[in-house]
Amino acid sequence: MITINVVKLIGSSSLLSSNKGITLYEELNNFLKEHRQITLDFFGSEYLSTIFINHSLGQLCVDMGWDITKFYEHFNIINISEEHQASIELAISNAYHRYNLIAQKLDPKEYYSSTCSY
Amino acid sequence: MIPYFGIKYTSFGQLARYEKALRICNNDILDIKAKFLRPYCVAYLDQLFQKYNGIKSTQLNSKHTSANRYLQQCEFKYLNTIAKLSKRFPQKYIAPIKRFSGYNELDDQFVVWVQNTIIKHIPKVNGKLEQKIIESLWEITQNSLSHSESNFGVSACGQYYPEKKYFEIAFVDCGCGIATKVGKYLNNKLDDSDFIEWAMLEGNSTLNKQAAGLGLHIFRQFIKLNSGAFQIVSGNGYFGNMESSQDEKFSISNFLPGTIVNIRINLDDNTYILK
Repeated sequence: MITINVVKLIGSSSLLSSNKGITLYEELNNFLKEHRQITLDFFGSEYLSTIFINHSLGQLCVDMGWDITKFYEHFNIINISEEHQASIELAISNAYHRYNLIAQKLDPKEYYSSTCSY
Repeated sequence: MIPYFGIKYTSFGQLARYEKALRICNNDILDIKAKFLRPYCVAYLDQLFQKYNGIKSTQLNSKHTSANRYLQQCEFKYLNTIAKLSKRFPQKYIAPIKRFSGYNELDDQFVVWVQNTIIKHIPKVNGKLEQKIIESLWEITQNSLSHSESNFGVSACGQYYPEKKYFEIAFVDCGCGIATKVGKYLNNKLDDSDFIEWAMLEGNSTLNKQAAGLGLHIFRQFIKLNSGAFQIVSGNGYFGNMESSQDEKFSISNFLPGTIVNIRINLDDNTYILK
């Protein structure tokens, strides 16, 4: 298992932008070629956005078709607040839901249109 | 036109009239006819004047000195007069217009801006509140920048109200508008306020092929925890709350192109500690 410090990798304690998320996504893709399990260390992080998560871990889960259980088979997350961990789990669940729509050949647009009523 | 702008839906409806007024204005000066403006009005006017001053060179003026003073304090760039600064609203409490022009603007700079604008007014440093404010406001700006399809980015303007212990800040774009965009996406004949509400629900997004749809939901959760308030206005729709915790939907009287997100962040010692 390899440990990656996200703040060191990104070079900032503000994990907010999609650009930074894409950087993490690309790095993780490379690491996954050689390591089945990765520990993501968030030590030193201050701010975390769903945009950053969507473009990194969320996109990874969409590509791999991982739900939260599968995600934790490959990733261990340390040094993170409960709230930020909850945000990551929410984003991954959401990504998996969207992956499922596409996997079932449901157009998200049609899905939402048919389920939207007030 | 109303002289005082509040945060009721009727005020937003009245503000929307200025879009048409500026669009059809053939004069060099548009009279705003207002005595009292709020930050969201200034941010909205900044967007409108950016949009239309590519075509014409209209400037803004009010016969009411108080409005001109306020616009000057907010560093509104299209004011046709030089006014003295207001004593009623000390400059240190004003967050002048800030324009965000690019999706993916440097987040480190955004953090510094929020710290210097809002966080400095928190009576006691509270890391968790600071964190949530920065993260929520980032979600709002990025949401507008990525969805609005506007050439003029997003304008923000704010003010600290020390007696009421809250900070009010607005993020405005004059792009396609959240209501119109969701309406086209869903192809559904609901009210614009329903479309705004839809965009705020967990997981809902008009982006089809990527993980998305949490930003506005996270923002709404924060406002509830903070006992703050928000109003989102777009098209003919208003969705938000004022003092009550109940979210409300209204139709506004005039079509408002683009989107206004107005936020009241509670900085009160007794309520701001987030668990």
